[in-house]
Amino acid sequence: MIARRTLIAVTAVIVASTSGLAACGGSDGSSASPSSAPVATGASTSVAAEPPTSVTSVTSETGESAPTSAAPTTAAPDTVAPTVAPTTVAPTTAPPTTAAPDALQQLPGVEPVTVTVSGADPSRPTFTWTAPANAVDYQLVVQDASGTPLWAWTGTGTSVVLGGAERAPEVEGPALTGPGQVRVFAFGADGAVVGSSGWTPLAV
Amino acid sequence: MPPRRDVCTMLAMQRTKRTSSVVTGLLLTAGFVAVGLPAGDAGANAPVKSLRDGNWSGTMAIGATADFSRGNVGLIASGSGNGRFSLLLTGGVASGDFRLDATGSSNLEASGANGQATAAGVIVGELQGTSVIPILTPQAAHFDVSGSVTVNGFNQPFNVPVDAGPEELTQSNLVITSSSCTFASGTWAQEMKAAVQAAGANVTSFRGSWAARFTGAGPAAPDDALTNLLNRGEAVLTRWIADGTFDEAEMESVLVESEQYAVSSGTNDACPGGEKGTWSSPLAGMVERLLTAIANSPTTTAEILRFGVAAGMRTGVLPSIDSPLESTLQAKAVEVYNAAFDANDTFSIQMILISALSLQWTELAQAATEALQP
Repeated sequence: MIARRTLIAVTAVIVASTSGLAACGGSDGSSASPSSAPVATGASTSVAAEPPTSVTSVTSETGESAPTSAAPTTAAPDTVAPTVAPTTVAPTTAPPTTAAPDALQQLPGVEPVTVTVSGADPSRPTFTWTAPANAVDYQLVVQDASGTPLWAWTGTGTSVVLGGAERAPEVEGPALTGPGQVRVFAFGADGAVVGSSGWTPLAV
Repeated sequence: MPPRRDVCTMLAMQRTKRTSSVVTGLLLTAGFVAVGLPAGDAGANAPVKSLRDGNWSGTMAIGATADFSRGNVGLIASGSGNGRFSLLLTGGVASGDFRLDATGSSNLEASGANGQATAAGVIVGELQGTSVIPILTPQAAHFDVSGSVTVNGFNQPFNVPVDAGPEELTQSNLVITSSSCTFASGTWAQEMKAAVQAAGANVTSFRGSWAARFTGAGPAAPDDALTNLLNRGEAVLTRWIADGTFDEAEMESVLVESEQYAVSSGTNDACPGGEKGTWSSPLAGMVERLLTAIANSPTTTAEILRFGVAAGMRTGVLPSIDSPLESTLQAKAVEVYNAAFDANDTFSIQMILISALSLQWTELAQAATEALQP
C-alpha cells in the first residue's frame, strides 16, 4: 500500500510539473502535508467522502477500491442512524453499517436522516428517507462502493427510485452494477442544511 | 473558523474511463505532494460518444451565446427557436437533413452608436460526417434582420432581408455529449460568416443543445416532447445568464419530465452493445451547456453550483469522462469556497461541501469539513 501511495503521489507531481502548474498559495500562507491533513480532531475529517463500510478505509490513501463487503463494521458512536431499516426488502439491503458523523451531521440544527432502501430490483432500488423538521427539499447522491459518483436527484419528495422513474428492466437508465452507497441531504426554506444522513451502503 | 486550507485544482487532469482520476490536487507549497487520488473504474456510465447505425430523430434548441472570457460577464446574444434533423448512419457514415428555425437578439454597440437587432429566419441543410462527428452542412438561409440603431441621438430603425448560400454559411459539428442505444445529445453552434454581419447586426451565430432518439429502421419523426424539454432548459440557462435569475424549480421540472420521457421512449434490447447501467440522458447536452456556464460565470453561487452538480450527476454528464468539464467545475468550486471562507459564509461552505462529497472532490470536502468545525 505504501508503495502504491508513493507512486500515485509521484505521478501526480510529474503531471503537475509537466503541466506547468504552480503550487497554490493560500491566503494565510499556511500549508500542510497529507500525512498531517486531519487538522480537526475526530473522525469528521476522514470519513467525509469515504465508503461507509470501513471508517478506516484506505481508499484515499491507496487509491484502491474500498472493501465492498457488506459485512457490518463498527465505528464511533453515531448520532445519526445511517443504517438500513430492518423492514427493508432483502435483496437491495446491505447489513447495517455505521460511520462516524461528519461535519454536516454535527452542525447545530442539522437533524439525522435515515435512508431506507427497498424495491424488487436490486439494481434500481427505491430510496425513502425520514423528513427532518423544517425540511422542504432534498438532495440524494448515489455512488459506487469506491465513491465514484453514479447518480443524483433533487426534489421535494421523500422517496425516489434510482433513475427518477420506474422503468422496465429492458429500458435503459441508471442502475447499480455493484455495491454502492447513498446519502440524503435535507434543506430548509432558506436553503440551509437541516438534515443529513450518513452514507448508507447498497448491495446488489 | 480555522485558517483557510489551501485547495487548488490540477486543471490539467481529468477523469478517464479507466482511472477515474480527477485529482483534487492539494499542491502544497512546501512539498508538491498530491493526495486524494481515487482510482478504479469510473462507473458503468462512461459516456459513449458515437452514434450507432440506424435512424436518429433529432431536435435542436437554440439558446444563449455567452462569453465569460476577457472580463465579459456573459450574454452575447439570446436565441430562441428550434430545429429538427433526420440522421441516418450507415456503416458509421452520416447522411440526412436539417432545418433550423432560429431567432437571435443582441445589443449593438459601436463607437457613437448603439442599438438592438434581431435576426429571425431559417437555415436548411444536410447532415454529413460520421457517427463520431456528424456535420451540419447548411445549404441555404434566409433571415430578416430588424432592429434599430441610435447614432448621435437619432434613432434609425432597420429591417434587412438576408439570403445566404452555402458559401456564406459555415459547416459545424453536432458535438456529442453522450449517446446510448436509445438517446444521444450534445451541443451545436451555427456560424453565419459575413451574411448577417453585412446587414448590420452582430447576431452572427446560434448556439444550443440537441437531442436525438434512435428510431431504428423506421423514419425519424418530430418529437415535440423532446423539443419542449430542450427549449425550456435552454430558457432557464438564457435567463440566468441574462439577468442572474436561476429558476431552479423550472429546471428541476425539466429534469423530472425528461426522466419520465426517457422511460416511455424506448428500450435497449435491440442494442447489441447495450449493458445494464449504460444510459444517456436526452438532456445531457443542455446540462453540459449549463455546467459550462456555471463553471465560468462570475455570478455562480455555491447554491447554484450544488444544484448544477446534482443536475450533472442526474443526467450522466458528471462525472465527466475524458473532458475538462469536471475539473473546471472543481476549480470554480474552489474559487467559491475560498470566497465563502473569507466571508465566513457558512451557508455557502455547506453547499460546497455537499458538491464535494457528491463528486468525491476529497480535498475540497476535507477543507470545507474543517472550515465547518466549531
